[in-house]
Amino acid sequence: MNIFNLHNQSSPKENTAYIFDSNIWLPILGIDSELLSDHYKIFFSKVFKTDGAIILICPIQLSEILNRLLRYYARVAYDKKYKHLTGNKPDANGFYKDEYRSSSDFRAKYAEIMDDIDQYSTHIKICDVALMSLETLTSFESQSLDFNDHYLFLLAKEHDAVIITHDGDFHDLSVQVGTCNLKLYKKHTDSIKPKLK
Amino acid sequence: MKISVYDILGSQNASLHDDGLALYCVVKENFEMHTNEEVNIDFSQIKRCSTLFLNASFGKLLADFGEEVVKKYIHPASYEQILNFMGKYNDMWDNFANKTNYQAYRDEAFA
Repeated sequence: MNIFNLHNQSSPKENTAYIFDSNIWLPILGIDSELLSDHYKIFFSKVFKTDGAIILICPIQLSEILNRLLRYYARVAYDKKYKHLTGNKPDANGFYKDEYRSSSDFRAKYAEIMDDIDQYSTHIKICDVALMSLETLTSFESQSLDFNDHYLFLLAKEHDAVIITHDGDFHDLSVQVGTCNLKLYKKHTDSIKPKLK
Repeated sequence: MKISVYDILGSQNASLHDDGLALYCVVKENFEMHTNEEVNIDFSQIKRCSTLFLNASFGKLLADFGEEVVKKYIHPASYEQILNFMGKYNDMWDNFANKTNYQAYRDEAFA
């Protein structure tokens, strides 16, 4: 395991594959979080100016990113349409399935998101985990990972890629991880400190 | 005052965060030197524009100067050839203006 601090190593390496965690993709595609550092966006931008650097995305992650963004925009649309109404109205989940997915707003948002992703397609490679078995898919290397995180780990391991994440759960893994999350970085540095008897 | 995005980026693609920051710095500097002068940000020759770019440029201008000032003085222009430009621009603005109202939805998306 090797976790590096993006504050110190702020440039991607040549001929290296990177996997950006979905929580990094969300601010890149428009849902910003004040908790996330601009360093991730800067690092992402530098990939496009680094020879041979690429970004890997697997279908399951693409699905996760699209669903989270579209659900967010659906909540916004629900608010605008129903928040101030009283009486009989659908709940937010019902609205998403029964109204929003067939709306012009859904189609517009989908087109905007895909247009954004397409602008990065020169440096994106869609790929997947090839060596799949029920055991590899469900035996988590770190117990703190959820299924999708574990899937990104498998993808990184198979393609020798570096995971860029702010998620503190990506520790004790046999792949390289880059982060601005100092708690995650400290977990790593603490783990390699010589133990005093 | 007219500021050309193409002249700043030297590219037809306004896609990356640092491109947005480059525009933000030029506009901020010029606007602060010539307060209350209208700034038209000219997108002619630009073919593609991303949400990331808009957040790094207009999003930061909104954070610095506020909605009223940006609405009154700082305007995008000649963007008609860019697919989805106005949709992305309006989303950027809406997300900024409703930052507090949408916090719970952002938290849900990041959960």
